Amino acid sequence: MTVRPRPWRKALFVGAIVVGIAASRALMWADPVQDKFVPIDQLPAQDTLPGGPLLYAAYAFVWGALVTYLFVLWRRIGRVERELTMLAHTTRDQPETRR
Amino acid sequence: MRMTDRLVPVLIAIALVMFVRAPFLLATAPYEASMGVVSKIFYFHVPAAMTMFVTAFVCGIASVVYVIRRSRLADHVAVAAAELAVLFGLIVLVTGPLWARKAWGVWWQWDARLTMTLVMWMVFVAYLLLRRFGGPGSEMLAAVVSVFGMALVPFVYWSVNLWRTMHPTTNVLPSLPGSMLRPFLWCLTAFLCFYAALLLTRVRLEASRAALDDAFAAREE
Amino acid sequence: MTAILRTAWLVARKDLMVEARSRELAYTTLFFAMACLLVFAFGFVRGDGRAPDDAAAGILWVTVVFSGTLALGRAFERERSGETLRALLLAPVERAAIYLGKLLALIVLIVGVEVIIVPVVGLLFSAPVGRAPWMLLGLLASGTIGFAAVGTLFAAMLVRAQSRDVLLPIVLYPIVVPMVIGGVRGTVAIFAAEPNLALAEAWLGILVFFDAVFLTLALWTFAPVMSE
Repeated sequence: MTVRPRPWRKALFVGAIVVGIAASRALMWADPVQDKFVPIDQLPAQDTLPGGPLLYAAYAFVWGALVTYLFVLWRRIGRVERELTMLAHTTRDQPETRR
Repeated sequence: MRMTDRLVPVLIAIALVMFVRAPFLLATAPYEASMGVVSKIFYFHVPAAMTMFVTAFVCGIASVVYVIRRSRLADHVAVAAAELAVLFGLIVLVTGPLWARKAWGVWWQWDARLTMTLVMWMVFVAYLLLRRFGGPGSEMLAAVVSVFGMALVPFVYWSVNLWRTMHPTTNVLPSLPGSMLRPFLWCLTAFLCFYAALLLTRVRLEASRAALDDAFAAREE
Repeated sequence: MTAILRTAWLVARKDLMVEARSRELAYTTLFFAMACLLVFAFGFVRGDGRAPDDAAAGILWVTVVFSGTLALGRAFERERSGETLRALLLAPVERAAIYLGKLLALIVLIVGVEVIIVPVVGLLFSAPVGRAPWMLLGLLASGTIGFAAVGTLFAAMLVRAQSRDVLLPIVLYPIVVPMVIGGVRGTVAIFAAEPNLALAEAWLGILVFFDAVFLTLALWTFAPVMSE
């Protein structure tokens, strides 16, 4: 298999890092003064834990995962169909050598 | 194959339109009183979970058909459904803890639903690893694993329920008032449309790859 | 039906006789189990020399699962190198008989290891293994049967696959999760400071049901999967 340059792989890595950073920001506790959301006072563990960043992280992950998969799928289909047409051409061009 | 080829872009278009509209619906949906804004995760966590179980079921049925009939199409559908089960399962297992951290104060709880999701996800990861690294003939082996995975579901549920009755969980699923039902169904439909598009596309990829392998094999002769 | 059982017994007897001569599997599996217990001791025994309350039950079952996996892999590796599995499959006998024979031999092997491991666990981790011996025996027996039923099928399936050593645990462990939960929790109910034998019996029921379902499934799928 020939080694081709794969810029889209770099893009994927960068995208994964971006999503990772977004998720880790969501995990950091925000300054209560800036907290716009009503904190839950039923369960004390998360009194000052803002829900917004968690929501954004979840949404970003969902989108990221689905779009990445679709993208990878699209590339693979393209590659397989290219090979199929290439194979069709070569079998057509070469004379059949049958016993 | 023609009809399914035309169906895919239609499904993707529907799904995209729904996904774009979804944030507006979610923003206007009422806050769930005890959990605040993070409960909006529920709108795509639960549809993702439902989609995952749909695709797990599809994989199981296709695997049974493959074991009995050795139909190639069943094999293609099974591997496509297994990959999507891993994908949607990953979404569920990531968005779930993000919600749980806020709602319950812990990232994970060993209750029946979570454990069952995790175990099923691992069954499908095992399926894919087996197909990838098992060498020739692994389609049948993987189909058997998938069938066993299906049979496993009720047992995991019962055993975890019995295990955890000693320590009741703080699991509270919101009961859905009507104003929440519409955005939820909207998101669920969007997920299912997208899932159908992905499944058809993936099956098409698998069929093309099989055709390629056949063509190469025919050339060898 | 009796023909199947008789053939199964012949297959099992062959395996056990081979094993009785070399005792390779028995010794190596047993001492692997001891090595596991040693590592778990360092993991769980605290500074005051006692393990946490439920640790002994968990350690026992994890050791059984790990050494059972090893025994499965080695038993079928032996078949593979001698090409005897193909010979068995070519013989004009029911596939179910071959499966049952190998299952029986493996159960005997694993139970033999358990007979030694259980008192050792009681010794090392101060667990009351003699408290309800029949209940404990029942739990271990049904757990072993369930584990071996699924494991024999998967190990036979993987005999000709690549990466079979690591693929066996990968595909086996998720499937035997209910059996591990049932075995551990039932054993915990027996070993607890206030034993709850009714709960242990409930777990035994789940384990027996699990065995019935998965043994049936394995019998059904053995023939199609081995005729590749």
